[in-house]
Amino acid sequence: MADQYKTYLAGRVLNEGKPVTYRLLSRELKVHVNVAKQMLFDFYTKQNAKRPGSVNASFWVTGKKRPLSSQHTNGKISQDGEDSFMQSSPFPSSMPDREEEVVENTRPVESHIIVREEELEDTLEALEELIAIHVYSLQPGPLENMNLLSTCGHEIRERFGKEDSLETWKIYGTIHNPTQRVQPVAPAAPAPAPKVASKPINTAKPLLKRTGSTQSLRRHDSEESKPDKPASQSKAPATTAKKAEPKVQPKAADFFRSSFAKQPPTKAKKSEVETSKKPALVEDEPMLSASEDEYEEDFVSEAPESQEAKEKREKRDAEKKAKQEKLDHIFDDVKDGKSSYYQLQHVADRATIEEEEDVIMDDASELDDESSNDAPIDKKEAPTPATPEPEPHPTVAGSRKRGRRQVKKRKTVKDDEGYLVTKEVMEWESYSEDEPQPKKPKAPAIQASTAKGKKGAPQGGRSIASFFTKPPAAKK
Amino acid sequence: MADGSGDFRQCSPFETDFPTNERSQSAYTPLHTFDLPRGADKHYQQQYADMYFLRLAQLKPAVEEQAEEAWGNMKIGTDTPQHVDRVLDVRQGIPSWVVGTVFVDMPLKPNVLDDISKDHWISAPPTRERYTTDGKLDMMIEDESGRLQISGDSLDTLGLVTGCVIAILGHENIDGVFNVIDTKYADLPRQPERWEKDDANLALSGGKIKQRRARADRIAIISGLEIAGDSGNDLALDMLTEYLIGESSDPSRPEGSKKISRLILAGGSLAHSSPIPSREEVSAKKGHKKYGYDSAAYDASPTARLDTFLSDILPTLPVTLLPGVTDPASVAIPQQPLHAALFPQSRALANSPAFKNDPHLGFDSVSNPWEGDIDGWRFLGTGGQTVTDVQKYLDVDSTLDIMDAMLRWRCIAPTAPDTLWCYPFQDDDPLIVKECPHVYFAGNMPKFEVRTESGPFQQTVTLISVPKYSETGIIVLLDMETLEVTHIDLRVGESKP
Repeated sequence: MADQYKTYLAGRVLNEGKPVTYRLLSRELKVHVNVAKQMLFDFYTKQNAKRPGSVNASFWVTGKKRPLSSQHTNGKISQDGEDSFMQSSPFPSSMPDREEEVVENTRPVESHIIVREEELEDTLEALEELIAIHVYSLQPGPLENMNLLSTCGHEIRERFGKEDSLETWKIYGTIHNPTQRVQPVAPAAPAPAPKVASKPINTAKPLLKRTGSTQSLRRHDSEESKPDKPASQSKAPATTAKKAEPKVQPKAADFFRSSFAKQPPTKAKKSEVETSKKPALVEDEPMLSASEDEYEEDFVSEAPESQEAKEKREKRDAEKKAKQEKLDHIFDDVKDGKSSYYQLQHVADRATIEEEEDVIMDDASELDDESSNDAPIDKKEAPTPATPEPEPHPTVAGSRKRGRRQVKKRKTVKDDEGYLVTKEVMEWESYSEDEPQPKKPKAPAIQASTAKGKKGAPQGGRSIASFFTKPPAAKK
Repeated sequence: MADGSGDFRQCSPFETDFPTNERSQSAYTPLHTFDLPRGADKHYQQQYADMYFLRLAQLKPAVEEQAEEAWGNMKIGTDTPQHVDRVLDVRQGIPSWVVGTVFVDMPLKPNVLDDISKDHWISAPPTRERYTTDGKLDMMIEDESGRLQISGDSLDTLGLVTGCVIAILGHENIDGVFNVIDTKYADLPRQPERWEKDDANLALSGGKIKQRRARADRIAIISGLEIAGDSGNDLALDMLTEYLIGESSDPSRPEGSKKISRLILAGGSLAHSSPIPSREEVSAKKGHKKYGYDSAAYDASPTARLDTFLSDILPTLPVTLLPGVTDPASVAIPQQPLHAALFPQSRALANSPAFKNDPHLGFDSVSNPWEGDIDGWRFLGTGGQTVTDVQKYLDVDSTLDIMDAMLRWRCIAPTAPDTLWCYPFQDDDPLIVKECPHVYFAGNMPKFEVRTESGPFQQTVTLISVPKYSETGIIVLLDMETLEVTHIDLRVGESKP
């Protein structure tokens, strides 16, 4: 540790030209923040002794301000000498404020300021009493914009966010709170690295075998989770989630097996693998749908691929392209207003439902992943001729199975001309396992009658997927 | 450093021996006064008239008591003023007093009927800072029987707003206008003793009432973090984190940040997140339709930043989070707690719904307004909308006057549901103050102010108006033994030389 800091600081500040804060330094070297503050000052003085002006510093100053300038209304004086004329110039309009200030400012106000070294003297002068001072950051030259320093905070969150702060307080000297603890029954383990986490999902696709706990993938950087290392859990972090996992997994797989039953076997297998590949926790991440595809492609091409995987991928890409074209076509139709409102509604419904589930159940992650992926509609799941009506999305919440199904309901509404119109509407409702499935309405008969009566009425219980497979001839 | 001066300007050899700082814990009992029924039990079909009825019915006895005491034996000329039960029973020329709800008609005030009629052909006018004009106000008092126009020199200076329940003394003149001589309000309700609730809970659960409790530390209140997701005020937020977790400055000194035992975020944590755009708005805004996540329509970075901020400080400091006017909660008060789905990281340190009354809560996302006991004191706090809305009616600058008046009217949101959106309460109105708090704070106020008010029965309330952190850098600190309020400010030095 002895001189490690010098090497690090020289490398970072002098060579790379990046700012460094005491916090970042303490994280890098795993030392107490107060030691880091001293290291920064040490480096600062010694470097500048060697070569004046080579390192620029900013300071965190804590002190009691003189009462006069303590008010927030005109308070930017103390840190900046050039602003001081503001203070002395009388404000005729703020007389009432003045009176209050007199009352409030009987005691000096404690103030914390981050200042650049250029303004340090002025700041210290303006203080009535200095409580604490330390180097906040070092940077190669004067800071144009103080907010640049926030990149260090960002870096800490990115790189050291995974550290469990319930443990690290001893090292860094954070105030310890013995009563704070992670909720023991949290369905989702705390996820300290938000940005990185969602990527491995895509990158890990080609080769990974199904494993009982896909969770372990989660905290790895994308490099680590490359295909050739299947689930090499360095530190399996999620012990809490593990118990829920085995239950979820088979169910989801069953569901996909059944709903893709009519597909060619390879495809079914692939989708199965895919579902298993999606770690259960991703629902919390900002969904990166726009960039997802790009990323996937770039990355996969770099990664070593087996012949099989390559073939698969090419096949899939080709499929995807075809589907995309088809979809574009369809959506053009939609824009032209030719397509029925119902189909659109259906998509929207599904999207909302999945949103809701995201909110309600953490365990419903499988489903959510599904939604985040097929929401942009350019995915391969789209064209599957899924089983028509009761589209159960069974998920496990605690020990009860829950899902949603579509039911047909009769609704009577008044239309524009004041007539009462009765419609059959498909609606989503949630059910849990112990409730019986409602009887299937006699779909064909009703469908015939309504379809004749009104244009754009719901066409039975066909799912959105069926819409994509064979575009009805009437549309063309 | 060795002398404890907090000066870390020191070259090697380094001082490496630092005491560990341990945070004390505050006794925390949130009350779920403002929690709305969940799911299907939440209805919006009710009429708002019920709220006014309810408010009048609940406050009338208290107001009458005050009025009776003041005017019961008073003589106006030779007459004793009569108590009239309903406003329409007031007789012309006879001195009398009556209790009712004030209604202030202002030309600039938004009117829901106008809104509906104009809805179809103009865009909505911008919301106003103030509804006040120079002209005379049209003031009325109403109860379930009807309305009575009131006038009087004293009325303008009193600062009455729509929805407060008062008693008025005077007589009706030939024009049918009631000339007001004096008014009375309900004044502060009963104030619980310190620790009353906790002791009662202990007694109920069979525990022994503690005779001595550890000395309580301080509470920090911040409002208006206004995280916008850009890097504009990121350093200020980092600064706040570092101060609160005690890595910067010198936390071990007696008044350092280790003495803060809980942080209250009083609304406005996000900058532009409310109202949440409706499905129609989203679809109308864009030319093309895209289903699922669309980065153009929704930017997650502010919430993600708030989440990381919370998860940074939560391991050392418990947080109570109130939503505010710019936060993605419901727009109608009482705003319900910000949903845990917004906090994927920090919610691991929150309590699960099963332990809602666990006193060791780390992260408590609560309603706005919010009521609860901290270290035995009763706290009542809002994100500020209630105060700002009343301010639109009046020409007062000090928000503390408004807060004081609201407590004395015993209604913390008198202008709801007239100009402030509000849930249509049916059976009980939680916005009526039933127990006087010890501390009443409002977030997102224009400036930092503190005042202690007292009531007729030795109630003392500390009123705090908390300014926005993003504008002032002010953290309000409240000593939990003496209820003394101090503040500190955090600031990033000017960027320009």
